[in-house]
Amino acid sequence: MIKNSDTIAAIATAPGVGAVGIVRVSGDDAIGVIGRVFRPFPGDMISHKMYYGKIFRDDDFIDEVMVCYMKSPRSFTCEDCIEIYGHGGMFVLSEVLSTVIENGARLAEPGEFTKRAFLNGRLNLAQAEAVADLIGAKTAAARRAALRQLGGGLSHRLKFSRDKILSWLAHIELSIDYPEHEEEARNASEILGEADAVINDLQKLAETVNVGKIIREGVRTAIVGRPNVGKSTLLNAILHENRAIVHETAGTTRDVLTEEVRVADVPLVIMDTAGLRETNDPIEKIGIEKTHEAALDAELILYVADATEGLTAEDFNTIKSFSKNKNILILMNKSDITSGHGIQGDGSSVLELHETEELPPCIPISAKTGEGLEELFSHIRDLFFAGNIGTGGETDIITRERHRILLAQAITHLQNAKRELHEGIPEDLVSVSLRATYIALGEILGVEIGDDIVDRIFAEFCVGK
Amino acid sequence: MKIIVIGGGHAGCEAALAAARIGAKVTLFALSLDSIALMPCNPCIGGSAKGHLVREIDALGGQMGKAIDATFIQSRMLNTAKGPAVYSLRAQADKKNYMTYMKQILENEPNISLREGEVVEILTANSKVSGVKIISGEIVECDAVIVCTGTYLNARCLYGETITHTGPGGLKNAVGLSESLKKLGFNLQRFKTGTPARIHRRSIDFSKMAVQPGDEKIVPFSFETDPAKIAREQIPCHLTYTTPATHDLIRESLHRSAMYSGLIEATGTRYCPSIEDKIVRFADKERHPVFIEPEGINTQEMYAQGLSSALPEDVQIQVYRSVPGLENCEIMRVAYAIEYDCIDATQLTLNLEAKHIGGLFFAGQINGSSGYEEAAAQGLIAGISAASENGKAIELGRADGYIGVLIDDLVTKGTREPYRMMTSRAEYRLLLRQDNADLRLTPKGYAAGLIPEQRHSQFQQKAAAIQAEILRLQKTTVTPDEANEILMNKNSAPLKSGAKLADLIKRPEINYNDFNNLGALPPEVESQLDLFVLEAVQEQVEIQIKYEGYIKIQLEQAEAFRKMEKKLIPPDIEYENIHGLRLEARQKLAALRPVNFGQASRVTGISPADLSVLMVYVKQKTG
Repeated sequence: MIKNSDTIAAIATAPGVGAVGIVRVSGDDAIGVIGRVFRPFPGDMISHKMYYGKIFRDDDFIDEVMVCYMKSPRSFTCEDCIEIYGHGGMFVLSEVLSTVIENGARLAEPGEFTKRAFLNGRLNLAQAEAVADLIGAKTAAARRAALRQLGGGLSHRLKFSRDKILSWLAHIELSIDYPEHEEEARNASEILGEADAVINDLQKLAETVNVGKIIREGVRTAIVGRPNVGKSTLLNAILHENRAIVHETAGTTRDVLTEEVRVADVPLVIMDTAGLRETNDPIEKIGIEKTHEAALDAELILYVADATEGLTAEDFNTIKSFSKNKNILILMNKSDITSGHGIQGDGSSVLELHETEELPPCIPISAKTGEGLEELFSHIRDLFFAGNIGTGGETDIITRERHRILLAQAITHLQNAKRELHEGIPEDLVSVSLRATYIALGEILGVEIGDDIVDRIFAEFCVGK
Repeated sequence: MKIIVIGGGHAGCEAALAAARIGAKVTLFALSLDSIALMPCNPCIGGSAKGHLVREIDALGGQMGKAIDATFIQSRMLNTAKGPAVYSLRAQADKKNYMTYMKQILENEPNISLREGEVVEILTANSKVSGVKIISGEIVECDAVIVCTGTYLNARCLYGETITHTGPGGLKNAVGLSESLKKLGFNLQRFKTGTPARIHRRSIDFSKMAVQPGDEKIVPFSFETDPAKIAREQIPCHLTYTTPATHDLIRESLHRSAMYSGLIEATGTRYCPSIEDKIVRFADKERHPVFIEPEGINTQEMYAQGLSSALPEDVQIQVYRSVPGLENCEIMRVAYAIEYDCIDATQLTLNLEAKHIGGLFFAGQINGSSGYEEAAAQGLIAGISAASENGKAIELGRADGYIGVLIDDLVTKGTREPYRMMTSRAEYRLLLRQDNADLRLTPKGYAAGLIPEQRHSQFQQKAAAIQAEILRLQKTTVTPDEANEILMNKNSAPLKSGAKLADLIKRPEINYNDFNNLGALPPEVESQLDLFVLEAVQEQVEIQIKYEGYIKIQLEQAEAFRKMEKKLIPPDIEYENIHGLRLEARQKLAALRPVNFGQASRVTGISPADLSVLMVYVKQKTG
């Protein structure tokens, strides 16, 4: 559900190791929120004036900041707006963000600041379509980030806990909607007996969802390129081991493999992908879709081309299709079996093209002999220490923060339900808390409540007149 | 304003009465005037969520609550230990008396003409209703039509290998109208429901069953009914259970049930499964409950709730006789399944009017619902809407009442099986209690012209008294001396210093009446209220104080919800052209054409991002 005048917050600066990072808060209660976290709070804030102070979460010091209040309508969104200028590290920024959220703001939806700016007349009509595109693109990015972070055991464990809660709800609602079947429903003490285990489980999950972890996880790196250009050989060369399948027939690597490796002090999470190629083979098609997704998700793209063929038109098109913000390195592989640079393509030198078409850096390598790998590693090191990669994507941080908030909400609601059951509060009230838990967990998984409870009652119990 | 109501069931009765009371001239066509307000299935009104619906119908000025208060033969308040939001009133009706009562009400309403006759066609001109054609060929002109055909459209009744082309209980079905609806562009669905056998009372051994008596203290359905005036001797229901023998018999004969032999084409229902369905779907369950309910005072027929079936008659009798207490039972009317045509209600507005034909309304089982109460609620809204001039029609949202939830579910999500009202479907259940239905809805009923002045002023007195008393309890401080004896008697912690009465009532172990002696309503207020209204005031005060915290949270949620309902979407919007909206979203929104962003958000498959894009587009168009 979207709300309109409630107060939203997000990190407003691009991810990276900048000196200053901004958290922006917008909405009717922006001042109220800042009043709860910023000390010393000047009370009557003057618009467009800088204030110096500290952000606190209760009594925990978070960051030393400057704060600026922009009174409605003289702000980006035309609403009351607060900007907090803190230290640039993503970890500190996300701590400031979560403090603000714990104190009354809500995490902004993808593109929501821009949407509000538009709805409040700040942007002109010509920009409206761009707003729609922005919402679409950011939503897609957030969905991918959510899927990725829910991978592994997390979504399974969430679903398990959520299913338990649905089952309790079905029992409670059965006894309410079908009182003639109430003896079949489990009573409060039976549910109470299980509540602690679920609360415990959710608390453990919450610990795994912190922002610091993303930044420590490594630079997500995608190796992409047409089939049979030597992507898997390159991965193996980097890893010094033989995990990926390497085969002469085009199109044999269909899944996205990930490997963690430390290259020149830089932690990388490398995704080896299926060859990019137009295909009708359904299995391979899935592989290629995954390749595109992996490339979209990556902070660093290693684009492998075959130096014996040179950069083809297809290569150019693919490289151009990647977002401008991506860090891309082009690797001309098989330099050992071509003469000279070996980087010929379509009759013209790639180096010339590099200048005219603004291609990303181009590095001749031989995945087979290891030639050129040192140069690749030093490029990666430079990118990392320049702060271009290794900060975690913006969407990742937002997604993880969203998950953390929702898990915290779910735990609070569930603890309430447990207390209510314990105190003998009537079922219709306990149901409200359980339902809120169920909805919060569903939001993490991106699913709505729908007719779940009714469906569960009819699946589990034989009721009806 | 001239309105035609097709059908005299629970939807048709409320629709006709509402429209007529607002001032429209109503003609109600029924296939048989002997079946006005017929209860073709269970002999009861109310129950969980359905009881809420009846209270809301009454609060809005409908008839069902008064009808059952006048004709009940047993009354119970269910769920009293499960919290005030889910208290559920349920009453056994004397079916014949109920019908007689309702027919008399219709006959005595000056603006209603009752006519026996089958409507076979709905006539339109310029996408607007112009009249109906009845089977004789006669054309009756009108401004609006309310279709309340229940389970009669192309109905077939089935049990075993027997198929009869009739409506329920062997009554004539309606065959012409389905074709007319199809021609008018409605997508028809085929639904199925069923009913158990009726058994002769003398053939039942009640000593083998658990007795279920009515409540000693009767709570009426209507806010206007004085319980003292409807006290009467009550008739008990009885409970027994199926046995392993029952289940074996059914399994052996499953192939002979119309449910399983392939004879039934329609979509079945989870809400009233046949006993065959129960045995198949819940094979491990050792027994299923069977409730034996009286059909009335002047009849020996007993209804066997839980034993609905489409087995052949020879198997049915064996199945019934395998149940303790029914060993020698005589079946008077056989159980059967019934199939009928209904429309896809997503073709309707929130006022139950067809989106593409002005003045054509639908209410009741034709919209895919099940149940007398669900039907009556829709009939009431359709009646008010059809008779209201120029969009003064009633607006009832999900945060206003179960009726709002019911209609929104039907027209926004649609249903693929008969829809039953359940409290779990209401998001704001703590607000939508049966005790406060009048506070929520009577002002709306008054605005719609259905609540007479006198009732309205009595209502206002009650509402004012509730406010005054809450205020008094919040302001009155009691001293430890005044309170501690009472508190100690209730095992409640004694006071060390003064406390507000309201705070004491919030304690789970303390009730409003415990502090009755410490002052009450101002005498001038008290003297104006009937005793039963005074009791209702006190009940209301207690609930509102005790659950204040929870109610406040839901009020905030409901407020946020209402904001979205107020953001309108222009009716002429072209979804196909919205840049940035996903194709699936464009198609779904174009098909349903939601009136506001709240409704759009509930369309199946629409995401928050879709809504954002739509919001930007609407802003761009409307400036």
